Amino acid sequence: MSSATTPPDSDPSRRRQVHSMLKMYYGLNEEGKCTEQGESLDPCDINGPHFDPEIYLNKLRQECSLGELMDHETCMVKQIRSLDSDMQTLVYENYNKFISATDTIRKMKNDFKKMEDEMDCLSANMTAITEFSARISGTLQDQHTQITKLSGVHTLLRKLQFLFELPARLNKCLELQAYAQAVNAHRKARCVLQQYSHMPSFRGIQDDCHVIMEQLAQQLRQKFRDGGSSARDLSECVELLLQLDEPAEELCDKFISHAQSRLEADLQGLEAELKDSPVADTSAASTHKPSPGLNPVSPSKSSTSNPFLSPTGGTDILEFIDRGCNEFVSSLCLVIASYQELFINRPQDGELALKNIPEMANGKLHVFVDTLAARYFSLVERRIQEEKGVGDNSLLVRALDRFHRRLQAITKLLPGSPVPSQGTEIVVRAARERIKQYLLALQTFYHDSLTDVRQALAAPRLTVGGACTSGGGALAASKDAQPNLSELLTSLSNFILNQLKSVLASVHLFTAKDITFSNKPYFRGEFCSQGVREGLVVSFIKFICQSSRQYCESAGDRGGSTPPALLLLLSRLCLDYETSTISYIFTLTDEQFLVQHHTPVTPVTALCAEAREAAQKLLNHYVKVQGLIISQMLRKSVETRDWVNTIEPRNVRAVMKRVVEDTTSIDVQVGLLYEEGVRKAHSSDSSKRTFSVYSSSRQQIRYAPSYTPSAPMDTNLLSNIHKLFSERIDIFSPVEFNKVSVLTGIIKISLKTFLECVRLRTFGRYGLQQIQVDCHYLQMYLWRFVSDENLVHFLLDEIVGSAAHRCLDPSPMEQSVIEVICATCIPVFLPLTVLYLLSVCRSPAASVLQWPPPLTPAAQLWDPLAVVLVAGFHSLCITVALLLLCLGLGMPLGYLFELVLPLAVCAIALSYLLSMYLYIRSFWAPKYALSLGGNTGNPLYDFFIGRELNPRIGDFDLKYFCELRPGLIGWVVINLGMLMKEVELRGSPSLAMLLVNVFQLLYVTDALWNEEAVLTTMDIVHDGFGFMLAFGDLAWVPFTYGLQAMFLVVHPQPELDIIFFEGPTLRKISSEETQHTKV
Amino acid sequence: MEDDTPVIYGLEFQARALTAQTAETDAIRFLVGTQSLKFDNQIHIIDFDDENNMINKNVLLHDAGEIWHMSTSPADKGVLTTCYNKTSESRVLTCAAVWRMPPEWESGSHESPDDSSNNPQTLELLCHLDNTAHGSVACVLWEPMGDGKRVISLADNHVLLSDLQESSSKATISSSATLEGKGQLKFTTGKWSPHHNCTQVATANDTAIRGWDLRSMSQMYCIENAHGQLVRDLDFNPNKQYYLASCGDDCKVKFWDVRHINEPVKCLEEHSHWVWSVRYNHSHDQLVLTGSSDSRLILSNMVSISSEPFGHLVDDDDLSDNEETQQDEKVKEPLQDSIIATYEEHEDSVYAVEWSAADPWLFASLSYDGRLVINRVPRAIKYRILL
Repeated sequence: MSSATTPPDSDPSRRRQVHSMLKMYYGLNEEGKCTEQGESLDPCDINGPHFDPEIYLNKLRQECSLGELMDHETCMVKQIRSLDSDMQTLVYENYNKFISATDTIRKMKNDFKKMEDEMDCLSANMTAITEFSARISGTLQDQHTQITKLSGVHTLLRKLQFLFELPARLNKCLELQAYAQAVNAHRKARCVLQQYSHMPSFRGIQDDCHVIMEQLAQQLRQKFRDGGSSARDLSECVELLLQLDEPAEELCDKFISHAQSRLEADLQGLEAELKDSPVADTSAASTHKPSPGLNPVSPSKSSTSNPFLSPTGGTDILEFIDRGCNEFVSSLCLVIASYQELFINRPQDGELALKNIPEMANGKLHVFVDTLAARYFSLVERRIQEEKGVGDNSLLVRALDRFHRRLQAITKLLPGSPVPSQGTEIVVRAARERIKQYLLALQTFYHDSLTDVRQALAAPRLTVGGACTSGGGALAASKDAQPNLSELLTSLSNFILNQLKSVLASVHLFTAKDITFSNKPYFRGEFCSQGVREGLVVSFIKFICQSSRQYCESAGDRGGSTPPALLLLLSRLCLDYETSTISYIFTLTDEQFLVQHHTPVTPVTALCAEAREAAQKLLNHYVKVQGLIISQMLRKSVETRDWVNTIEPRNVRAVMKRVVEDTTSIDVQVGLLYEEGVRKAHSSDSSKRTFSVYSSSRQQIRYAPSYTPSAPMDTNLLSNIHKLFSERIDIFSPVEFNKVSVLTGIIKISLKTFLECVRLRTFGRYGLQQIQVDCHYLQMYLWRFVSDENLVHFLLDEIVGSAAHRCLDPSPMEQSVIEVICATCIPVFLPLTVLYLLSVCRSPAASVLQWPPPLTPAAQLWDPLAVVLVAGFHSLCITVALLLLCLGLGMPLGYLFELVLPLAVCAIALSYLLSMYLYIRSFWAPKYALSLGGNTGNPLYDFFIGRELNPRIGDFDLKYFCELRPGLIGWVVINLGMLMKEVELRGSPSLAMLLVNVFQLLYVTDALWNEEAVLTTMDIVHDGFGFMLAFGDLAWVPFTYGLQAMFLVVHPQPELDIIFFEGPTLRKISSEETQHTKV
Repeated sequence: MEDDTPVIYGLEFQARALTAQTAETDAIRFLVGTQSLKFDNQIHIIDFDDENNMINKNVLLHDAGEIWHMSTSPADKGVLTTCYNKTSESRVLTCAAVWRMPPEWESGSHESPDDSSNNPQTLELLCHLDNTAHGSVACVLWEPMGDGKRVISLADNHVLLSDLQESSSKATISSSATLEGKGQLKFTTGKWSPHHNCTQVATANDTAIRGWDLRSMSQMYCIENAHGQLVRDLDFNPNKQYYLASCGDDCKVKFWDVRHINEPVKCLEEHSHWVWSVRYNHSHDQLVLTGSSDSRLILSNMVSISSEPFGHLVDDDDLSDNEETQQDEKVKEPLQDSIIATYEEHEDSVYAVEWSAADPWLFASLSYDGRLVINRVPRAIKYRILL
């Protein structure tokens, strides 16, 4: 057969070959059928009758490389061409023959006329001859009869001789093992012997024959039993035995058992391989004795199957299935075919037909095939189950495909057999199993990616050092985490989606066009709708929802095991799923798998609803957790303080600032993932109005009367009336999917906690006032986060009211005082800090932690020279040249050191004056020149932030001027002054001092060089010019940044130490400064 | 008689303390203690006339201070304890005392109910439960089945068992236990179990519930993290000895089997803010009442974990350890746990709820603004339980 692929060498041999092939094609060579059966069954034989182009193609594709394939193709084309030319020559030859034939016929026509005449003559002669012969036969009649009789006797004698010679002949045949001849001879003689068995001589012969035939049958059986012979021998044996009236059933059994033993060997080979793969490493060298329990059939066979146990280790499934198909299935087919040939389809003579052999044989065959196939299937299934990895799906699919295809052959051979359907079931089960594995893989992937996200969330937190529950550094931490959050969300959802897509793609292999079972309706429908859609996609989405919900439940009581940011993230994820991702996934799935909805499937809407529910739950939980964190803070702050004996409030408590800070950071966090949402009243005007209502009229109405002891009833009445008209507030109510709603929820929870805690305490006079201050502070900052600011007002009113009720000596603080405290905490606090730092720096210990702080005598804070200097100082800063001039005039710059404190006082005073001027002049400014942030209506707040955006005197922009120049140049001047002081004190500047000066000068020069960059910063573009900027520029920058130089004057340092100390500090300060100026 | 309309009574002052008069089994009577820092505090005795749906009130003066907790003697109608705040020289101290109501109040009230409010009588002080050494008293518990001779007071982190002698005029501490641990531990509330011969007490501090054996004064069990946040109240199932209900700041009501403290038997999450009070009905323990600072009162039907899942009254004698299995067999069509009703008559946080001692179908609730609401169990439920 292989010659078909090689180009033809010589013409005659090729022609013969073609001829023989043609012959074979038309079934002319029946004699070679038996021998060729084995070869011709192979569908990959291109010249065989069973050739299946598809299988052949597959095989080629599987086995050959691309180059070989190309070679193959050219070779095939060549062959086809040569076949074509052969055909043409044949046609030409035949045409020539046809022409010559017509000539011949024409010639014949002419000849026939002549022949007719001669024929007439011939017939006349013939009649004469007949007459003659009749006469002769008449004479010869007697002799003829005698001869006939003699010949009859002769044949009889010949027959008798045959009979008498029969035993000897049979013996001879037996010796020569020519069983077929012996049987033939015996069959011929048998009936005769039977007929004449009453004669003793014949009987003797018959008995002899019987004995011999017995012997022969024995031998045949022996041969049959030994089984080593080829299939052809075997079938011959069977045929002979059948002719010898051997019981067919027994033969069937024997045949089957023989076939079984061979197939058993195949199976064991497979099984051994199966066992081999798990233990390949440990016992590859060992002899692999299969345990007797597993293969009781023939231990001898297991040794023959040892070659299969080659230490190939874990063969892949394709190889395994291939081997199974090639060895087991093909030999099974062979057995079935020959069996059918032998027992079922054979031409039957009446005698055998009576015994109803085909049916019996058929039954036996079915049982046989079923048992063997079951074993084979169990092996295959075990092998498939071992295929756990989800890596290469195509291999499995191809293996299953081959498996399925091969079983189709059995269907053809054995139409009624359940084997193929079982095989299909295996395929379906394997597919289902595979889907389950994919689902599992997806789930683990999801978990892993969540862990990653969690780590990503935790990492910045760790650097800050504050756990999220304690809230320590939450603001800073979330600032670090914030840029990540939305990125994390997109990357997470992309990861998941990609993974899902890749899984779908690999699952899609199951339904590829060239896979035989994929087109079967029983597979495709179920697989696509139940398997992929329900089993994989729906389950995965359900899993996501479920696991998210678990986060709510598990973390609920046991504290913040889940970082709130993760909750937020997941909730957004679920919401995204609800809005788009689920439908996207399903369109993708439906497109890829052409799902036909025969069976009821989970509708997309149900899944969406589930996702939404999960998102809602997560968000609610997020609100709860964040609310809890804040309310814990508030609760601790209320519970741990002795409210009766507290001092008069001077400041907003730090806790409240933390609350506001945390709320702001939550606001930013949520804002990254959720939209803004709708507020009830969001114009800045209305907020101002309600604010003033709160601060003046309502406040007075609300609890002013309640402090007059005469009317206790009024309080209740008023508050009750008030409550009648206000809506009931559900504290832990579900939130909507937007930022405002989330923040509202959190603030509600926190404030309600505050309220309940306040009610449990008793307050002194100042306790109440402190609460008032705190509430006012919260009022100032919280309204902007919530949807309905009246809610905050109401709750805060309630808190203050409750505190007033719980107060022993309720004398509330003046509203204006509260406002001043809330707003002044910074304007007063900051200047004091500057002065404090300066005086600490000059003290010998120079530690911020020392207590009591080194208070400078008031006299030191004032120096008339400073006033003059500061006035000049700031203007001086316009140009360094002027300064140099001063130096040239002999102004002792070192005197700056003594003057630093008075200078700071003056600078602070100047910043106050400047901001006062700015505040007042802003009322004359046009509306468009006002900044957005600084117009709350609260004078102190406005004073602090600054109302006018860019105040100018003529063309001179005050803010732009103050932004960098006075501060930075002042800083340099102070540094220089300190340097001079050190020169005065110690004769020469220290290395540390020089370095400080040089580096900071470098920094300042850089900043001033690129001064235009400041125009795009928040300071210029957004903030008004108020106390915050004025103070920062005029006092904070020069006097706090110059601290290092000042420190060095008082505390001379060994050089190396200070360098190490300076390096990081300088870096830190400069980076802070960078932030300050650039952000 | 309109069955389901609530009866509302308003106090002038804010109030937190509410109790039923335990020893009184004929009249429906509740006591309310007010909280006012500026005026004399009062105890309002609310008598509810079931027939006419009317309220009778009497006011007794409690001039020692504002009342945080109140409980009545199970044996003597006239005796009660209060926990009150005493403010002296800018210090607030919570003390407890045993009081006797003046004997005349009852007769006086009937003659001229208006006078009594104008001219309130004063409580007669029997004795101080002097625990100043041990800290502030959170609550005082009477022995549930006893003769009114033993009380437990929970002061800071001490459990103090006192005997009242000489007709309650003298209290001596007979034994005590102290909770040791990190930080400043403080009992918030407690409950004396009516089972086991009244030898067990459950207390709550922070998020934990602890059980104490009074004979040895030692801790028996401790449910750490019973609630996510502070535990606000406890109550024992009157019919099932190991069952306990608790509520807290995590807005949940949990039911515990103290033999299996790892997991609650049941958990309700119906309130939208802290749950301040939980009470089993004294005779039909499937009825559970909870009050919360979301201004709501919820009556739930906890059939699945009650002693009478079928509406049959299971005799207390029959109760044994394997009661659950018996009940499981009996349950053929298990009734669902459900909320019977949500009452929204209050405008402010409800801090206390209480069943009447006399009528098992009646309960009162008290909100911070001094509103007392008396409600009945809906008739349908009542008949379903009874029939």
